[in-house]
Parts: sequence; C-alpha cells; structure tokens
Amino acid sequence: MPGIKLLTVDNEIVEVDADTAKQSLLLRSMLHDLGVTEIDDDEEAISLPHVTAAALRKAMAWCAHHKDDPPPPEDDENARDLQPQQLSSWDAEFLRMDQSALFELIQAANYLDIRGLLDTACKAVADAIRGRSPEEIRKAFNIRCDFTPQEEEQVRRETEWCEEK
Amino acid sequence: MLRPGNKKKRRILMLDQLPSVILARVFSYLNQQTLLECMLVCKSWHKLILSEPQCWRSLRICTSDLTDALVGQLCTGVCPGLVRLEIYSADWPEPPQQPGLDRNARKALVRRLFKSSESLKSFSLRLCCCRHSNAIKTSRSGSVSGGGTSVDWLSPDTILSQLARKGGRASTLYSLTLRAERLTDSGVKKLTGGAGCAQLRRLHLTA
Repeated sequence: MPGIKLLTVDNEIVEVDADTAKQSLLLRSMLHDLGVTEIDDDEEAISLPHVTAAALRKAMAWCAHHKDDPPPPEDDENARDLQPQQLSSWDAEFLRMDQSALFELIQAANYLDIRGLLDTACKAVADAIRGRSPEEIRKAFNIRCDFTPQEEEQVRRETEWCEEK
Repeated sequence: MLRPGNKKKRRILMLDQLPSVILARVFSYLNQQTLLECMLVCKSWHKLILSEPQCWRSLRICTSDLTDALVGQLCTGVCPGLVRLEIYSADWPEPPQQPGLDRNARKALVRRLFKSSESLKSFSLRLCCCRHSNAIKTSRSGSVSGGGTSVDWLSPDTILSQLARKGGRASTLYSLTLRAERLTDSGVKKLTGGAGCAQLRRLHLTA
C-alpha cells in the first residue's frame, strides 16, 4: 500500500496511507502538486507546521474509518439542516479524549482541511457546552470571567431580547 | 519548517485559544438559549457571538424587544447567517400605553431584520392581537378590523415579492407561515409561479 511521510510540528515522522491522507484536501493538493504516488525512502517528508503527531494519527484513523462516506456536500449552509444531527456512536467514542487533545485534533482537521472531521469535532465541543450555565462553561473549559459584576449585569440586560419566551 | 521549543513538553491547548472561525463553527451548533449563556461567559465570546453571523442559524425575537440599536447590531452580526427567522408578538399592535417605539417604527425594524437575513430557509411572522382586541378597537378604530386579527403590512404578497426579488431566495425557502386571510391571488401566484417556492415543504396558514 502506498504511503507518504509527514513531518509533524513536534518533530516526528509519521507514515500514512496515501489514499487515507487524500481525505485531507490540503494533502490531496500537495500530493497532486508534488506528483507523489508511492513511498520512497529518499523522499523528504512533507512538513506540517500546525499538526502534532498524536493529532495526525487520530485524524488519519478517523479518515480510515470514514473512507467510504459520501463526500460532504459543497455548500455547507444548504446541506446542514436546522436541527444538527447527533454524533454517531463510533464518532462519540472516537472523540472521547481530553480537551487539549480534542482541540489539537480540531486544529489539525482545520489545517489539513478535513471537513467531516472538523464538523464532527466541533459538534462534540458544542455538545459539551450545551445545557450548562455560564459559570459551568467557564469551569469546564477553564475560562476566566473577565466581566466585572456590573458589566455582567449590563450584558444580561442587553441580551434580554435573546431569552426564549 | 520546524519550530524549536515545541518538542519539550506537551502544551495544553485551551478552547479560547482556538481561532475565532473555529469557535464560531462550534457556536453554530448551539441554539439561541445556549448562545445567550455563552455570551455571558467572557468578553471575547460575547463579542464574537454578536459579530460573527456564522454563529447564528436561527433567531426568534419579540417585536417589543426591538430597538434601533439592537436591530442595527443584529443586521450586521446575526441576520446574514440566519436560516430561520421568527418574529412574534403576543399583542400586536402593542397597546398605546406600552412605552417605546410606535407601530410604524417597529414595522420598519422588522423589515430591516427581514431584509438583512439573506439566506433564510424559514421565515415566520406571528402577530397576534386577540388579547387586546378591545383596547385596540377603541384606540385605533381605523386600522384594525373587528376581529382584531388584520395585519396590514408585511402581507404574504409583500413577503413573497421581497423573497422573489432578492436573488431568488424564494426558491430556497422551505417553511413559510402566513396569515391565511391576507393571501391574495397574486400572492398565491408568487408562491407557485416561475420564481416561486419550489423547495417549500411546509406551508403553515394561520387563521
């Protein structure tokens, strides 16, 4: 099976299956431009400045599992329904990882341009936000509240229109 | 290109370190109530949610909350991304003793909201004035009919012709709520005709 070598930001060389890698639109166009078809020991690894080795392996595992999925439709906004769909149980299990690893994976999916993975992982973060109060969200994601109590009160007043009545 | 220093220790990546375009993508999966909670989390989230239309898919808003400043903010930061817009009022036209804007000013604000929502698939305008029909009848005898249900603006004709005008938005609309008694021949023609609502899956006619 043809493979390609990728050099990650944390200085590791990861060998990945070329067909799987092509689900990344970035790698697909890189491979196309470079004319790389199969592995060659002398071949220099392609450098990926924003991707860690762990995230790259995870991303490729996701791509391998989803390789037979229909390609995501061109026009995101028209394809996405008003009610976001739930994650499949495979995806939910796959994304069970610590927050930092999940955010690294999101960054990798964004940089590598793997739309399906980016959407899935963003949905997982949205699921973790849903149903929590502002204070609980801050706690869950380690975010510092930079509102003064007066400012917070003002934001509350200014966003009353948003309250579902 | 290698970046020295990244190898030493595993860095901990936080949610608020993700680029705002990704955060906006995360927010786009949340409903209005959750977006409200998120606006109260920190300043940068508050700012992002009110300025990045990608965060918003759906907006439900009451006419009595509309002010000039709010509509201005919504039109640039929220409306362009909306797929569903619902404007409602429990007592329309609002009774005269209600403080704030008069009816015409609110009409203009609703129009502005509607016009800046460029990718709508679902639009609903629910103005109900039954509760105060008596009060209205005495104070505005000219404009409100006996049953207290007549709405003489943004009639189906107006909505449909605006949809048809603006880059063929009518053809992407799939849910529409209309007041049946205001539907006219020409309105129906716009619904079904050449530039009509070919994708319409749900037409809700209210009495």
